[in-house]
This record gives sequence, C-alpha cells and structure tokens, in this order.
Amino acid sequence: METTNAPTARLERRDLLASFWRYFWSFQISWNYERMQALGFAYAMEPVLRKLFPNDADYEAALERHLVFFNTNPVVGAPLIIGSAIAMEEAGAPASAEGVKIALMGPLAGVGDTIIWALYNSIIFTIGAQLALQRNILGPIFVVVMVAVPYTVVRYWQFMWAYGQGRALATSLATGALERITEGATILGLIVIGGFIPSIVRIVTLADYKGTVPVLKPGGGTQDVTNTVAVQTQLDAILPFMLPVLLTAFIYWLLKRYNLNPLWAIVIVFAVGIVLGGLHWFAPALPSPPAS
Amino acid sequence: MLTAILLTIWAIICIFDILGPTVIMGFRPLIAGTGAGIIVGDVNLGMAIGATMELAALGVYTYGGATIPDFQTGAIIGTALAAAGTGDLGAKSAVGLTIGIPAAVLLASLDPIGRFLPTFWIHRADGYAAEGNSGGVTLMHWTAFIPWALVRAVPTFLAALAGSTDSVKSLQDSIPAWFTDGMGLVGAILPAVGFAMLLKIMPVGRYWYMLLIGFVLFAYLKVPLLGIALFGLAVAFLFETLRPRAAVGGMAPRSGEAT
Repeated sequence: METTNAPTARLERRDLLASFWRYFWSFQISWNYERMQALGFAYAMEPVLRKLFPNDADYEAALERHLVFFNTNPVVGAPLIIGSAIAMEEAGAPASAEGVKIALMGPLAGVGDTIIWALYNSIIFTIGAQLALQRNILGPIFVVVMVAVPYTVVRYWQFMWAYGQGRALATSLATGALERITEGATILGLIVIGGFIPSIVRIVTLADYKGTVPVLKPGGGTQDVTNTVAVQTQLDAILPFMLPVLLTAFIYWLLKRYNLNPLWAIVIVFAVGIVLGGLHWFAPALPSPPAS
Repeated sequence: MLTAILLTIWAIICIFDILGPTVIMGFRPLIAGTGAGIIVGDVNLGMAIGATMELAALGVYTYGGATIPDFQTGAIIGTALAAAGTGDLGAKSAVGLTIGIPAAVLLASLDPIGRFLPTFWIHRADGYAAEGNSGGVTLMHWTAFIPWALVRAVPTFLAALAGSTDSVKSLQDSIPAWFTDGMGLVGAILPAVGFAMLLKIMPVGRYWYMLLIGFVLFAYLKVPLLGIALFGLAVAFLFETLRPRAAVGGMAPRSGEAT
C-alpha cells in the first residue's frame, strides 16, 4: 500500500506553520454539501505536499488524495487530523494518512461538537448574554476573549501535538482512549443538558380554573365560595419546571420517532408559540405579582 | 447608505469568522447584534436584541453541517431596523426581535444555496489538482466563499437600505401587541428544539439518568450552570476511572454503572 519512493525532504517548523495558518484562516470557507471540508483540507496540506514531493506526478497524486470527502469539528478534530496526516505523509505512509482521516473524523466530530459547540459555547454565551442584557459591554467582550484565546491555543496545540506523535497517535487512539473520551464527553454533555433544559427553556402557563365549593356558614347552612386556582402553582407542586421538560421531551420524540427535519420543528414551535403566547395561555415567566 | 454598506461588510466578516479563524464567533447573534449596534450608533440596542436572540438560539448551535435559523442576519437586520424605530430601548428592541426572529427563520431557506453552490468550485479544484496547479486550487478555495457570503450579505444590505427610510415607523405601529407577546414566548421555548436535536444524536437510552443529575442540580439545588458543568466533569472522570476496574475485576459492574 505504501509508496515505494518515500519523501526524502524533511519538514521544518515554517512548513508546519504555513499549513497551520492556511487551516486557521480559511479551513471551512469552501465547505459544500458534496465533499464538505475536502478542499479546505487539501488547501491546508498543499505547502507541505509541495515540499515533500518535488516530483510533479507525486505532488499531483498527493493533492488529489486529500481532495476526498472530509468533515469533522473544525476546532477540536480538524487540526489534530491535519497534523497527523502531515506526519504520515512525511513518513512515506500515504495510506496511513488516509486511514487516520477516515478513522478519526467521525469520533472527533462527536467529541468536538459535544464539548465545544454544545457545552462550552452554551455556557459562555449564556453568561455573556446575561451581562449584555444588563447593558454591560463586558458581555460580548467576555465571549470574544473566551473564544479567541482558548480556541486558538487548543487548535495550535492539537496540530503540533498530533504531528509530533506521528504514527504513535494511531496506536494510542486505538487502545480505546478515543472511546473513553467520547463516552466521558457524552456523560458530561447529558448532565449539563439536564441542567440547561430547566434553566434556559422558559415556559409557564397563565391558565387558571375557578372551583366553586360549598362552605359551611357560621350560622348553619352552606355558602358557595369560588376559588381561583392557578394551574402553574399545581404543576410546580408536582414537578418544578414541568413544562420545559415536557416540551423538550415532546420535540425529542417528534425528531426521534418521525425523523422530523429540525427546521420543521423550529417552524412548528414558532407557529405554536405565537398562537399560545398571543392568546396569553402561556408565557416565558409569570407576571410579577401586583404590589399589595 | 454608508450604514448599509458597513452592515453588509460586518455580515461578511461574521460568516467568514466562523468558517475560518473562529476568533469572534460573529455568526452568533450576541456578537452579530453588538457589532451592528456599534455600526448604527446604539450599542445597547444591538446588545439587547443580540442577547435576547442568543438565549433563544442556544442549543441550535450544537452540531456542524445542519441548516439552522440564520440568527446572525436576523440580529443584524433586527438591529438596523430597530434603530430606525421610535421609543425607548425596550420598545425598539421589541421591534428588532419581532422582525429579526422571523427573518432568521425565513432566511434559513437561503443557507442551503450557499452550501450547495461551492460544489461547482470543488470540481474545478479537482481539475487544477490533477494539473498540479496550486494557484488554481487556492483560487477555488477562496472564491468558494462567495456563495456563503452572498446569501447573507444581500438580505442584510437590502434590509439595511429599507431601514434607512421611515417605513419602520409604520411597521412598528402595525405590529399588534399579541404578536409581540407571542414572539416573546417563541424566543423562550426555541432552545427546546436545540436541546432535542442534541439529545437525538446522544445515547439517551443508555445514559438517561445523567439528565436527571443535571436536572436535579438546577431545579432543586439551584446550582448555577457553571457549577453543573464542573460537577458533570467530575462525574465523567469518575465514571471513566471506575469503569475498566469494574469490567476487569468483575466487581459488581452493574451497580458500578447504575450509581
């Protein structure tokens, strides 16, 4: 499987940096439905491939080799795989480079999407948005700092680490490390989502019902007394945040059971929300009680 | 006109950032709205619209590749039009949200066009790669960004132009109060879709009880989100540390998993 003419050229730090900056500035700008991040991957690999393959035929073959379908998380995943693919191309093992791409892109997309997109971002954006709602410009600034610095560090570190690991990376990941990381991320993710649902999804019912009960009068006989009971108070007594939980569970069921397109779920929630909110049957929060 | 051009440039920067450097997260409404607020000269308005939309959008940004409402354009358009409205910050941001959230949902239909068209570019890139023409590959890579940029830049530009007339005033008067209330509820329940989307791709059947932990921490113990995340991290490490020992040693692996 391996080429007979392994590259003789050695990569220097500036070759690696040329590749890293290409990835950093533009990895997904040519994303498309057909091959997703393929062109971005080939573009990032190009300076390294030119150096490794002075022979035009080898260079052309290498470029085409890295123009195949590729998709993973661009922050956690892509830099690691690019760094690893570079190390394997340098070692004269193009089949291993292709193998590592196929083997890692799916699992790392899962880890990256869960930890970075779903958890980390949701937490920092919640904090940032809450500050911004208090007209505090530190809200957006906080978010930008918490994105720009850690993301860049993590991306650079992964790229250089994976390159340094070379072929050892495939071995260390094969011993189940990746499955454990994925499982740990899943557990962390589910715990945090369990907290997100009651804290971020906000819906209460404004409905109430009037119950008329006969009450004994002091002097004998009965008198009908009408009580207004808020439905939300009853729901809270059973389970706090019951409506956000039921709503999320219902949408989950629609998506899972009927494989509903998420965009349709959004349109449905949109339409139902306008009607129920407009009728004042439901609201994001109970109106503040009148001062008495 | 100058404002419209600046907002369009900002829209292009925002989408470029998430596809490339990812240092400002401009495609998220909090950042897109704040930037638009600075451009129209009302930072507080942009922050208020962006932050409210951000809380509605939380959860939909959970995995890559999916078409989701274009909250970036929604926040920019909403801020641009609200700035032309009248009233205090609350009244203006209500207008911005009433325009911005439906616009975000409607504009989601343009996103697939931006994702589809670069397919033609990659076929040209195949040809250049076969010839070993690195300049051609580079050109295809960078110009494939054009469809991505246009599907956001064009609506932003058109809406920003419309916002510089006094059409916003009549629009503001024509929005009934029930619609604004309904939109408030929509914003508060939309995150449920995002969380449901995320749960769909996770092994809920196997680890459903982890959801309970997070729920109890917030609903009963009032632990803030960061605290829940730290607790979750500890549980994840504990789980992964105990797991192999239970499997290898055979010491009641069932109970080890159930706690």
